[in-house]
Amino acid sequence: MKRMIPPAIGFLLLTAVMLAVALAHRAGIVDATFAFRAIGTCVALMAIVTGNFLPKMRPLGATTGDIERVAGAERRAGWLLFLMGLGLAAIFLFVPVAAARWIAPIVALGGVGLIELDWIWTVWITRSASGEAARSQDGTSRERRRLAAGLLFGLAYVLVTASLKFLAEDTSRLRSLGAWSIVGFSIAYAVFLAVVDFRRRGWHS
Amino acid sequence: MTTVFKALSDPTRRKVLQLLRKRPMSAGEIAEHFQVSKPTMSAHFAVLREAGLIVSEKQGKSVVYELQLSVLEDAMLAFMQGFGWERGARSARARHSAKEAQTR
Repeated sequence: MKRMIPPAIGFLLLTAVMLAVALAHRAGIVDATFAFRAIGTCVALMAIVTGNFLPKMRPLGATTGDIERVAGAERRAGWLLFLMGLGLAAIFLFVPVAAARWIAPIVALGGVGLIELDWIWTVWITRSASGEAARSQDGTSRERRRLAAGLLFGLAYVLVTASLKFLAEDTSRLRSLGAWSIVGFSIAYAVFLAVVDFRRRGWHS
Repeated sequence: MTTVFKALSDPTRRKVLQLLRKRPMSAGEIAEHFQVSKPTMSAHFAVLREAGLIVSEKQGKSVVYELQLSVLEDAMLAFMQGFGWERGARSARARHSAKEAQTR
């Protein structure tokens, strides 16, 4: 559990930097281009940090059954997030702002989508073993998975809302999209935690 | 980071990590793949555990080890495996001991 603290702290620090840049932009201290590049780079660093530590946190957490397949999916997701983060950082730092506005969301949403599909497929084909695995996990593993889930949902939320913000031109529509994405992510996170808990206790208890 | 480099610089420890890629294994199962004594194997496990590359869990009478590599550690392992890191380290050690012998 101690080793999971660095990614969580890194994530919070980057969030603080993003907020500081946004406030500085609102106060007129930094211009829009700098704010765009700085916030975008922070999002990219979030993906790198989360991706790097993801395989260590074992979010799918199989301890019995098809462990190799599940661990492989976790490793692939880690590598994908890590490389996606590097790509996003390069886009935000070197590509002209007008082009970065539409390239970055495609890369971010594409990466998140690929991981999601890969995990859905992995969970589906290992479903009978994973329930057993979830029940056999100790407290530390469960805590680790909870933290991993929090980080992943946090990152997915940041990536999706940032992508929406970069893609949408109309501010009023953007506000309503933002509100809907908060509601959507809160529901998805609650459902995810409920499923994890349900699997731990067993479907029949 | 130094502990990770130290852990990955040894070919036996790297082979342990490669074995654990497939599935978590007990200390006995891993030891079957090597011709080294039990205390030496335990020392290797301790170094890997200290570096945070594996985690251990007691299951009944045996200790089961599980891989816990981050993306960067995975890349470092592949790099060291690919370039035969221990060969470089060994020749550096040889150069160092030759130098020491010369100065004596």
